[in-house]
Amino acid sequence: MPNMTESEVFDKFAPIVARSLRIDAAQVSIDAQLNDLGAESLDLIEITMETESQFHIFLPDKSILETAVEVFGSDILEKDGYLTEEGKRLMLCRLPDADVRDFQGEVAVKDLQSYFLKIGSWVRMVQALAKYTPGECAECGGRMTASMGFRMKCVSCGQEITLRSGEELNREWVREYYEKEYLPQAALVAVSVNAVQ
Amino acid sequence: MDAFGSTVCDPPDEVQGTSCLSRLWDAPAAPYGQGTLCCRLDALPREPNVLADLILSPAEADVWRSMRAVEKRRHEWLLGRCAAKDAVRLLVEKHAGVQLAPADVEIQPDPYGRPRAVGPFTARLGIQPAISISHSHGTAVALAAFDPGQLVGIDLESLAQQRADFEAIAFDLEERRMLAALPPGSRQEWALRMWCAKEAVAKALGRGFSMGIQAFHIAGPQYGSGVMQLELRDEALEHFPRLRGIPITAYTAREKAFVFSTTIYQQGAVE
Repeated sequence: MPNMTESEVFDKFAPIVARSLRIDAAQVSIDAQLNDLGAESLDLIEITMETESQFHIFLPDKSILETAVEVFGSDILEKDGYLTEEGKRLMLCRLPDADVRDFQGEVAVKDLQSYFLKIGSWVRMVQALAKYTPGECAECGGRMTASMGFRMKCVSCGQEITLRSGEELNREWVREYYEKEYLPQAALVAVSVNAVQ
Repeated sequence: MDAFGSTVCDPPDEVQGTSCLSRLWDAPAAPYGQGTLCCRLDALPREPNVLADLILSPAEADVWRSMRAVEKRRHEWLLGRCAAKDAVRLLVEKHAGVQLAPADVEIQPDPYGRPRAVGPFTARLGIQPAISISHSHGTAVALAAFDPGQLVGIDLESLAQQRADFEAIAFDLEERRMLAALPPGSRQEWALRMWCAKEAVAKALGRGFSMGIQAFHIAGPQYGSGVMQLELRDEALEHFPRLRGIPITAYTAREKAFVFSTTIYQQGAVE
């Protein structure tokens, strides 16, 4: 689980999508968007639940932009429905595999929503979260299996762990970015503005 | 020619006048009075490309031609556009006495993805109807309000498809307890009504579920009338601080194989 390749995740994720949407798995390509494949809101819930169950992960329940706005405050990352330059910088840092061209010029919040509905975006998110799902027990090295709720249990020693949620991991990443990337840069800008004045 | 004499497209007579391809559906708009109406389409009234030629503006036609989506999605998009255009056209005719062709009313998403009706008629008549669109299982509905200050939301879901366990993600513990207290035979319907109510409010506020599903909490379902009171929670209150402690009313109902919910909220009370 922790070291799945993008291709391995895709091969397991595509049938989940195909089953939920009752379409041929061949239609599920890495560039396709879930809504273009016919997904309605409740289909997305079904896909979320099945993905969590199959990959033993806990997907975030809100967008990374929403989580980031909560940490940064309003109008810094998004203003009037469009990403600010700071918002684009954060998204590109969060999505290193993203095509830079997707974040050039005006980027509306709806464009970001479309981006996160891409199969490829889901695959990369699942792959990233799966790294936090242990395959082996930290105590005895035994095999871990799914337990009740978002828990994993060692088949050998019975040790149980609670999986970290995607929401928690997103928030942790945003806080770290805010402190290590944004604040030092904002301080530099403030110093240069003061110097000019 | 559109209602103002400029050429927008060349629709045939059947579309140019007052004829609508969708039908008025009274139930969703009933709680809101004269300034609101709802249109519904249960099937494509024409072959898809013919319908697209009849009703879409040039910009919408570009979207239609470049849409890389499965047939179901393409058809629902077209149905939704058709219902929304008809709802706006009927409202404008009723309140401003002007007949618009479908292509005069362009449905465009705003930066957050909420649909809005645009076109030369908005500036010339000084009106900007508010709209919301929903589709499910081949049926599309559109709710339109004449007052631009109103935030409108509609959601439609089919009862045909059994959704195992969606309640675990869609509802919090308190909401699931409400559902558990219902007779088993009505649980699926009320779970869908509660879901529709959340989605209608999420659409009306313009940001969908990007704030998380649990940001929309069902506080008080009234099983007799179908009325639900929703409260915003958590981060949703940072976007809409004026709604702290203020319930939002959503109406829900069942009609044959569908349940739906609508909500209309005065914008000034939100922002």
